[in-house]
Amino acid sequence: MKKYVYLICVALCGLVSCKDKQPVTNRVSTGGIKIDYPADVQFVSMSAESLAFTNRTTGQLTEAALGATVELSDGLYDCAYEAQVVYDNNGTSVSGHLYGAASGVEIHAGQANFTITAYLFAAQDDFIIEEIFFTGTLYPTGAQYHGDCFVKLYNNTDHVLYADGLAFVETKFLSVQKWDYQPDIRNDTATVQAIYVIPGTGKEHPVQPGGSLLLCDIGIDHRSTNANSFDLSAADFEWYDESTVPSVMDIDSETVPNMDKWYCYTKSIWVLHNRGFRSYAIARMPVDKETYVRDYLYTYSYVMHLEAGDFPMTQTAYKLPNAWIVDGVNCSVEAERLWNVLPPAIDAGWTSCGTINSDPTRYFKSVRRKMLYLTEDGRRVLQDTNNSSKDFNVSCVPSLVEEQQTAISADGTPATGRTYDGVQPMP
Amino acid sequence: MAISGAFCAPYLCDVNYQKLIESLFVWFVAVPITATNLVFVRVTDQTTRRPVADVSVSAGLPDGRMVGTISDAEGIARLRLDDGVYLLEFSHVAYYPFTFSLALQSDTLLPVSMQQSARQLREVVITASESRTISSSSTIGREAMNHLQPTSLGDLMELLPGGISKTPSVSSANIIALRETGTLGATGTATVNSAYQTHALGTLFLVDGAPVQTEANLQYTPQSVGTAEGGRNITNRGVDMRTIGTDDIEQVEIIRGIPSVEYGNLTSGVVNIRKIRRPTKLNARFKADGQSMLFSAGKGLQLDSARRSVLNLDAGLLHAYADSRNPLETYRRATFSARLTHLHENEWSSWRWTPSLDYTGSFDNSKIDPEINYGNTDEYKSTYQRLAVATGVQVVPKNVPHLSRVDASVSVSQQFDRLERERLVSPQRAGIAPASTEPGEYDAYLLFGEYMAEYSVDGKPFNAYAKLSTDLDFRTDWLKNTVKAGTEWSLSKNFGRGQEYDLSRPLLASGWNTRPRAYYSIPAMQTLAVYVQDNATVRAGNHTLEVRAGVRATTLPGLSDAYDMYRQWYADPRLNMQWNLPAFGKRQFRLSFSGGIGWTTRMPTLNYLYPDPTYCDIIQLGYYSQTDPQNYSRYYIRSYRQEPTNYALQPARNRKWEVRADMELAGNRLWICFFEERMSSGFRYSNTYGVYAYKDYDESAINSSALQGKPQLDDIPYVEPQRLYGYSFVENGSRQDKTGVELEFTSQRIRPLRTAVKLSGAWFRSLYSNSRPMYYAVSAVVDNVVVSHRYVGLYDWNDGRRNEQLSTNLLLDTQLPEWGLIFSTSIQAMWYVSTQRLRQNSVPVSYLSADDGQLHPYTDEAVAANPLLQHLVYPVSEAAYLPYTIPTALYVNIKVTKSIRDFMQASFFVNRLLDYTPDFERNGILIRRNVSPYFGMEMTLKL
Repeated sequence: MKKYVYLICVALCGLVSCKDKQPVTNRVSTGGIKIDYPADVQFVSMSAESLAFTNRTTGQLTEAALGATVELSDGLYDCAYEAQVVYDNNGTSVSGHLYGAASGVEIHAGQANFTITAYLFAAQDDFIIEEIFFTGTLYPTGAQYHGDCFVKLYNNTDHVLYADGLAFVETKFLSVQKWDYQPDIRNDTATVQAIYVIPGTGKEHPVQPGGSLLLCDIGIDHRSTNANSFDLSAADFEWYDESTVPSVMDIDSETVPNMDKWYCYTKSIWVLHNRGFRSYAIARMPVDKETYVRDYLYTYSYVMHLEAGDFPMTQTAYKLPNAWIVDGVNCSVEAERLWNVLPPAIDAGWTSCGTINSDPTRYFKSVRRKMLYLTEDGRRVLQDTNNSSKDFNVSCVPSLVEEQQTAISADGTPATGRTYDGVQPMP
Repeated sequence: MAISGAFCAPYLCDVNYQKLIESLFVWFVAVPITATNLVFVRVTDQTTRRPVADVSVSAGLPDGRMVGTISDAEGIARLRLDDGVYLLEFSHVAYYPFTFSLALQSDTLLPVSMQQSARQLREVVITASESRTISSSSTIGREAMNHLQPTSLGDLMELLPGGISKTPSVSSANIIALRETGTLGATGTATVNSAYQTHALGTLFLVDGAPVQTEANLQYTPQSVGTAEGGRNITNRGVDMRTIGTDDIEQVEIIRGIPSVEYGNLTSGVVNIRKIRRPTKLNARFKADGQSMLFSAGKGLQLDSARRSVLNLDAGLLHAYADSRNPLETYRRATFSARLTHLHENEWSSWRWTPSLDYTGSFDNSKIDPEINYGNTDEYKSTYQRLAVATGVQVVPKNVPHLSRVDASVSVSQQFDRLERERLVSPQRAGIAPASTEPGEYDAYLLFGEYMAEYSVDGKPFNAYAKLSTDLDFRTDWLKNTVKAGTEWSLSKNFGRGQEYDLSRPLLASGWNTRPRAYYSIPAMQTLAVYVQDNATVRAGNHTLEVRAGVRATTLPGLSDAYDMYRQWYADPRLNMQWNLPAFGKRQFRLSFSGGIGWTTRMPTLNYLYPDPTYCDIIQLGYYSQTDPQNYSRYYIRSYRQEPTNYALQPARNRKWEVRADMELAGNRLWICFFEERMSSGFRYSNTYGVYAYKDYDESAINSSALQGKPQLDDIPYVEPQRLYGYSFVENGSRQDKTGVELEFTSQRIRPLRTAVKLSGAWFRSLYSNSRPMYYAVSAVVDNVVVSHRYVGLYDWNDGRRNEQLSTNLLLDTQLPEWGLIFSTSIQAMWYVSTQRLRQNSVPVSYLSADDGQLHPYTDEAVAANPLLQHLVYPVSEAAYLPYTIPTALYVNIKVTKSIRDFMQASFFVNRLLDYTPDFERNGILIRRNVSPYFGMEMTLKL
C-alpha cells in the first residue's frame, strides 16, 4: 500500500526575515528536516534552497524547494540539499553554493527527522574530474583486461591551469562496507591508500581552458595485447608501479611520463577498483613528499562486526585533509552501496557503472561529467554542483573509445558516433 | 530313504564360527573319480520347510580323499559316487552341521532337513568393534561394511569413536584424520592446510601386510592456479582413501593407540586392511547414491579339492559427480584384484603363500563450463593408476623349539600418474615468462594477449618393500613370552618425466617462478628398519598382566652425507601394558586396565627431501617499445636458482601415551580411554628470505627513436642494488598436538526388542601451530620503496588454532534374522565444535635487512633511526583470539539391510533424515544452519 505523507512546511526561525547584511541563522528546519549551516561563514543572502529525495528502493527522484510540500511514499531515502548563497569573504561579497546530504534516512508516516549539515562550496579555481574509466575492457574471449584504465581531468575555468603537484588519490574505505571508524575524521579528512602525484615544479604542465589531462595505468597502445582495447600512448601521465618481480610487473611506457608514487598500500600493481567500490579525488599537496610521508601516517581503528566476533581492527593509511582536495567523486553500485566515502563537502552524491556487484555489463563503460553548454568558441563547460549523482552520466562509452572507435563489447563491436559527455551527441 | 530331523544335532556344543565359515565353502570339484551313482540331495529347513542354499555337502572317499558340492537356491546338491560306504557331511553357517554314513549301491534321492543353529549366529556385527587387546584399535568387519554401504574406505571412518557421517566429497582427496578435529577456519569450518598434514601422512595403510607407499607421489602444480587442484593434491598428504574400494575387504583394523613396533614409518596410527581370501559365491553389488554409482563383482574360487588353493578375483567401477547437475566435474575409479592363497603342509612345517596382483585407477576430471565462462578453457585432469604385485609367505615350523612363526613379504608397485592442465590465460596486462631453465641473465619471453597454456606432470612412482619377521615363544607355567623380531626395507623412486610445459606459455602470465623438472632425476630413497619386541603375559592367580615392550630403529640408507639424517638411526621405544583383573561377582564382572607410551617416527617424503628448486627472477631492464612492442621490447632478467633443500631436516616424531579402562558385566561393555599425543617436528614449507644482487638499468637512457631492434645493454647505465627475495623451504616447523577422551558403551541385545544399544563418543582437542619463528612480509610501498624488498620481520608467534569437538553416536541396532532384516538408527551428535586462534605477538623480534642479509634486533631505537621499520608491526585485533563455538547439531541416520532368500541383499540408507541444528546467534548475528539429507541404496546378488 502506498502511503503518502506530507511534509508540513513550517519555516521556523528567522530565515524568512533575513535581510541584506543580516547574518543568517545557523539552523533551519522544515517538518522535522533540519539544515545545519556552516558556523564560520557570514552569509549575505541565500536563495534557491532545495531538497532532492532519492528513494533507495525505487530510485525515484523527487525534488522540491525547501519548505515546499512533497508527496513521498514511506521508505528509505537519500536526501541532498543545495542552495545558492552570497557570503562575506573579508569584506567582499562572494557567491557560492551550499551543499549537504543525508544518506539512508527513513520517512515513515509523514514523519521525517534528520539533520543535513550544509557545506559551503566555493567554486574551486582548479581542475575537476571529467571522466573515470575504472571497469576495464574484455578480451575477445570475455576475460578481463585491466591495463587500460584511465582518468581524465578537465580545466573547466577560463584560464590556464597547471597540473604540477596535483595528486590523484584512492580512498581506503569502500562504499559497500561501513564500520565505525575511530577517530572519525571523515568530515575534515579523507583516508587514502594510494597517492600518485604529477611531477613538476609549478609551471611545467599547463592545461588550456577546456583542455583535458589524461592520467592512465599504462600509457601504451593496448591493442597489441588486447584487440578490444585502445591506445593510451598519448596519455599525459601514467601511474607506474616499478617492480623487479615478474609476478607484479607493470609496464613503463616510454612515451608517457610517470607520476610520483608517494604511497601505496600494496607492493603489487595498483589498479582502479574494477567494480567501482572506491572513491577517487584530486588534491593539491601543500607540503613536500618527505614531510607528508613522515607526518600524515594515520592509524585508525574500527570494529568489524562479524559473526565471529567484534573485531577491533587497527590499520594504517594516509590522511588527506579535505581542504587540500580539489575535486572528488564517490563511486559505488546501487545494490551494494552503504555510504559515501567522501563527505558531502567534497561530493554530495555518487556515481556508478553497473548496478550490482560484479555487474557483467559494466565493462567498456565509464562515468563522464555532464556538459552544461558549449561556449561560443566551442569550449565545453561541464556541470559541477559538487554532487556526482547529478553531475555525472553513468555507464557511458568512454571518451577514448569514442574517439578511437574501438570495441564497446567483448565481441569487438566498434563504437560509433561521438558525444560531448557520453550522452549529448556531437554534431 | 529319508533322513529325519533326528539326525540333525550331533553336536550341540558352542558352534565355532570360524570353522563353520570354512566348512561352508568346502567345494571339492576337481577330484577325478569314476562316478557311477548319482546322489541327489535336497536340503530343507526343518522349521520352515524351505530349501536351504549354500549347504556344503561332502563325502569322504575310501582312499581318504573327499568330494563335495554346495546346494543351490532350490536346496539341491548332486554328487556322483562309486558304490561304497561314505561319510556324508552337511554344514552351513546358520545350521547345525551333521555327518551321516551312507552305503551307496544305486542312484539315491536324499532329502535332508537341517535345524537352525543358535540365533546369535545370524546376528552380525554392524559397527566397529573395539579390541580387547593391549593397544586401542577398532575392527570393522565385512558385515559392518555391508550394512554401512560405503563407496570407499573413507566412509568407514564414521564408525570410529567420535566419527560422524559425512556426505562423501568426490571432488577432493579423502585424507585420514585419526583422533583429531582437523584444521578449522575462524568460523569452525574444515579447511585444508598443507602445513598440518604430517599426521595424515604419518598414518600407515597396509593391504594384506604390504604398505601403500606414497613417498614418491609428486602430482602437483608448483604454483597455485585455479581451484581444481587444491583439495585433490595428495603430495605429502598420505593416502587418498577415495582410491580404496571396500568390496574386496574382509576386515579393517584401525590402530589408534600405540602400535606394535612391527609397524613403523608413521606418527599417528595404522589402517590394516585384510582382503577377502576365502571361497565365495559370485557377489555382484550395485550401489547408487546422490553422487555416485558403483558396481563391483567378486568371487573366491577354490582351485583344488583339498581346500589348499583359493583364488579371489574382484573388480569394481565407481563413477561419481561432485554435483550431479554438473557433468564436468567427475571422479572415476576402477579396481581389479587377484589374490591367491595357497596352503602347503609337510612333516616339518606348514606354509601359507599369498601372492596378489592389484590394479587401482583413479581419474579426476574438472572443467569449467565454456558456456558460462565466455568460452574460456580451464581443464584439470588427474589420473592415478597403480599396479601392485605382492606376495607373502608364512611358515609355521613344527619341530623347531621356540620358533613359532616366520613371515616374509615382498611387494612392488608401479604407479602411472598424469596430471594435465589446459587453460586459456588472459593476462591482465602484458607479462613476461622466464626463457631459460638455467640461472643467469637473459631476456624473458614477452606475453602479449591471450594464449592456451598446457601443463602436465608425468609421475611414475615405483615402490618396493620387503619384510622379514619371526615370532619366538618361550613359556613357563606362569609366564608366556612372545618375542617378535624383524626387519623392513622399502624403496621409493619416481621414474616419471615430471613437470612438462612450454616455458613461453606458462599457466600464469604473472610471474611464473618455477621451471620444468624431470622426476627421474630425483634420487631414490630407502628406509631400513629393524625391530624387536617382547610380549610377556604373566598369570598370577586369576590376574593376568600383559606387557608389550619393543623398540624399532629406522634409518635412511643411501642418503647423501650432506643431510643431518645421514647414517642416523632413529629409535622408537614403545611400551604397552594391560592388567586383567579376575572376574568377580555372580554376574562375572570383568575389569581391565591398560596403558602405554610410545614414540613414532615418520621419515620425510621424496618431495620433502628433494624439493623443487625455487627461481628468483629479478627484472633488471624493463623496456616496452611503443613503436614495435613485439620486436623491440626487451625484458632482461636475472634469474637465481635457489636450492631450498633443508639438509638439517629431521624425521617427524610423535610421542603418545594413553590409559584405558575396560569393564564388562553380563554382556554389557564400557570402555574409556584418555590419550595425549605431542609432535612439534611436523613437516611444513616455511618462508625464508635471501639477499640477491641485480643490475637496475636506467630505461630512460634508451633512445627509442634510434632503435633498430631491441635496445643494447652496453649503452644503458645501471646501478647494482640488492634486495630480499622470499622462497619456501621444508622444515620441522609444525606442531600438531592431540588430546582427547574416547569412550564406548555396548549393551547386550535386548531380546524383546531385538535391539542392541551402542553409544560411542569422543572429545578431541587438537592444536595446530608453528613450532619455529616465522617471517612475514608486509605489503606497503612508501616513497617508491617496497618495504619487503628492504626489510622483513621475523616473528616469534603462534600461527595457528586450538580446536575442540565433542561428539557422540548412539546406535540402535535391531536385527530380525528370521526376516533377514537389519535395521539401524544412529543418532549422531556434534555437541560442540570450537576453535580459537593462538596468541600472536604483533611486533617482530628481529628483522632481516637487504643491506647485509643479517638479522637485527627490532628495537625502538632501530625504528626511530629508520621509519620504514614501523611498517613491520603486524596488528592482530584482540577479538580475533576469542573462541568461536558452534553449538549442538544432532542428526538421525537410518540404514536398512534386507536379505531376500540367500541370493540377494538389498540395502538402503538415509543420512541426516532428521536433524536438530538450531539457529544460533553469534555477536548479534543470527546464523542459520541448513542440512540436506543424503541417501542411497544398493543391491547385492550372490550367485
